[in-house]
Amino acid sequence: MSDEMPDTPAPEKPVHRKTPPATPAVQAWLDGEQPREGLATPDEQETADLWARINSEAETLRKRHTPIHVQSKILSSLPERPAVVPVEEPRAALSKSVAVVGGLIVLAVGAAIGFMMVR
Amino acid sequence: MTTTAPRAPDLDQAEADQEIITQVLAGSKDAFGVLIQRYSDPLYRHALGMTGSPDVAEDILQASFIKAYQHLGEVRGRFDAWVFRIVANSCKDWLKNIRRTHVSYEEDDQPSSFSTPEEEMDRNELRTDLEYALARLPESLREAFVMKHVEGRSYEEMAVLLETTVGALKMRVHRAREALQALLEEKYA
Repeated sequence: MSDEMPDTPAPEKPVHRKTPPATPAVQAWLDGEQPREGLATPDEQETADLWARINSEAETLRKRHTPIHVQSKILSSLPERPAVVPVEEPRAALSKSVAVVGGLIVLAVGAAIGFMMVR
Repeated sequence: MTTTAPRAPDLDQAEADQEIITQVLAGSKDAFGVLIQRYSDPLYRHALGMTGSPDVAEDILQASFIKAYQHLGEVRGRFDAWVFRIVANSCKDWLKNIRRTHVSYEEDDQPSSFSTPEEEMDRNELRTDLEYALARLPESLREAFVMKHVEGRSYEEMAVLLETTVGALKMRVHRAREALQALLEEKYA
């Protein structure tokens, strides 16, 4: 068998070309931020074609409704009354700073009284 | 088109909901039916998009509304956002349990039990593949994609419901699209 290379290269095996990834322009179109006419390249148009098909199916799913029997089934499964949450009375809270200031005032008043009594 | 400003909550709707909640808490169980009727469709679609199974979506919806009823006195703020979070968390719990118990989504939870044979027949191949591809996305990406593309919500609305930022959600939706495209393009490109 000869190691000689053929004169002409063998034809490349056809490779399945995937859709180009969604560019920022395609994402913006899908987000409704720009019209499809804003997609400039054939690659973007190709990706947009795929997404138009996907969106069409997604919109079909959007038209689905709750099966009729479900609403009545839920209503009949409800307990007699919902739990009533007791309304909490707001509690008086003493913050650290208020306590410190209060303490200082008491001390000052006490010291003033003591000073006056000594005199 | 430019990015719109965050949408203010529908105050009339929120007030109407609050009025119904007051009636229910006062003993009118039937009034709760109005809330079920008002919100069951978007919540059902969310559960269906997240789980891919109509049966599971029904169960989640039922359990969530019962939970909402039992804790109705704890609602602070918008009822729709509060009940949405109950459903969304139930979906995530279900997905976690599925993974923990090693039950294959394909075997157990493919949407094989649609309510009528006509509905089953109506599903075309791309829809089946889309649901299958969605099931392979991480939870947070799936949630963002379902809310944006299947439920048709705005980023602003999603940000309110999921208590996150519009920027973070855009990132998740963009990543979800990249992942879905990679999963679907072999067949459809």
